[in-house]
Amino acid sequence: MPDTSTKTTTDTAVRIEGLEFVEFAAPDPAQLVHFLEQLGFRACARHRSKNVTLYRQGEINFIVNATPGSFAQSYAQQRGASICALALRVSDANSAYQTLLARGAWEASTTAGVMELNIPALECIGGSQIYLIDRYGQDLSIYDIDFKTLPETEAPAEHLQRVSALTLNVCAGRSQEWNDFFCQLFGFSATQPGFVTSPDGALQLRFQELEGEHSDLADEGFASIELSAQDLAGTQGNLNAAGLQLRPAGPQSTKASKRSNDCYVVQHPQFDSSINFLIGR
Amino acid sequence: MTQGDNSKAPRFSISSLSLTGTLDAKLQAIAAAGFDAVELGALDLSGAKEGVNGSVERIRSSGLRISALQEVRDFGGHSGRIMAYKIELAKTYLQLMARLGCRLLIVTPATSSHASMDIDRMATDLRTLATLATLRGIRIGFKPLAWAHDVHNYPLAWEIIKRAGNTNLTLVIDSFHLLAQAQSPESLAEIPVERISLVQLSDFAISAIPALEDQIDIARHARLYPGEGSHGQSIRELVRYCQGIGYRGDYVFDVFNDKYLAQAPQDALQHAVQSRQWLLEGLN
Repeated sequence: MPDTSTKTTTDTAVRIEGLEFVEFAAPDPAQLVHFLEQLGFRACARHRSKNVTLYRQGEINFIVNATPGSFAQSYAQQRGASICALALRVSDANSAYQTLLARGAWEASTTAGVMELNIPALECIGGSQIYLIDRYGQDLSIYDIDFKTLPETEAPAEHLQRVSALTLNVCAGRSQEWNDFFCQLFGFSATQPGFVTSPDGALQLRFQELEGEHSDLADEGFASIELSAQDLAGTQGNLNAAGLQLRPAGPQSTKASKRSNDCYVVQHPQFDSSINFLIGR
Repeated sequence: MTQGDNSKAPRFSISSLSLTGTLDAKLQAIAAAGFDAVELGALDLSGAKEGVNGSVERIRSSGLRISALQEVRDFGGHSGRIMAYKIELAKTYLQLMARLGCRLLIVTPATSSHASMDIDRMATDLRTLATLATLRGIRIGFKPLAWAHDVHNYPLAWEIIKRAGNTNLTLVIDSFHLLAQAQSPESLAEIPVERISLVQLSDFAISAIPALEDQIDIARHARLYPGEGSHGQSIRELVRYCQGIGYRGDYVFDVFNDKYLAQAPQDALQHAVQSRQWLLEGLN
């Protein structure tokens, strides 16, 4: 009889290879775009037919979807400026999609994605979506086909390099369930209590339990995004100069750093927004 | 008189399949009898004249909390095609349950004999179902059946739950399946209270262990309210055990009895009310 005391059955369904982009929606996209520009992002490409724009800085890709009548726009009507989707890199998107459906994932309820390409989409927390992308790397990109490069009026700043973490609001008592969701479907691992880390170690997800009357399923969703800065002090200065105030994040920082000056919260946007931006190492 | 002044007092619920009549009549009678929760069956959702939407409306307006939806049967260890069908069925239930605010879906194992059940396959299948339910905010409650070929007791069921390794997967304790095999709460000793999502109670007349075919027959037609059969004291002991480990979920009367189903709901419910009182007295 094998030792079954801690053995659990099969591995993860799929092992993701990274984060391709984060998709934002906002009731007033211009305000969100201004905020992203203050952070140092610049528009690099625009979709050929939809009101979808790619903003970049460092290795970070942000998509702002302002297409009227889109899933993103209706998400924004409910939640203000928000993260409505993540695009995750996998080695074979269609195969990963079938595997994930067979392991308990749900198809996204609307198929209107940001691209014309048939990108498989799954449902994620709070009605957000996960896209599966296998077209990435040196010579490939998903933006080649459906996006037109914008003439570079201004290059993005170089303050911020990567998306290092995301915080998800979850209902009281549901942290471990969401932990299991990301570990068992996408290959994240529970390296420290309260966090899960992507297979390549680059992205952390933190689960924050909602309390009291705000602990409704409808309140689950992305709460904050942390971006890494090589030169934290310099970045702080640059963002101040662009008109953004920062304050130390303290113990709530998503990377649980012991030193409170390792992570800063950018002032909450002055427009209706359900997410905060954090800057860390 | 409703229970619930004392947050530590057990909360009782009743399966709507224990009663006969229209869904409306049953829900009203259940509420009038002082229960604040009901366990629904799949038939409750599809059976009404107005179809599913009508049922959803009725249930929501009854004001009753829903303990669980019973059930997805014959689950786990099947071929890809059958598993895919079961998942589609589960998705339908989960979507309906989300509209109702029902947070627990009961699942039972296959009963026919397979050549040899692959315990890891069963665990994987349950893990898939638990993952599916997570997105809808619903837990899966797995329940062994005394007559199942492979998963027929709580230690085996708990082993599979552990292997599945998904927090959204829990156990449903049904006193019938314990008592039909003359098992005491000791067989639950390994199971942490946070993995017990529901306790179902029923009594029956035979004092000896019934043969398998008889178990099925009694379970479907001749269950009794706790205290009316030969196992009342054992059921009181089970409730004391659950209270003692800190279980604060519902205790559901799952009493499927042809005689009671021939009565009007208000009359059948008198048995439930008396049994509830008798169980509460057994705790003092």
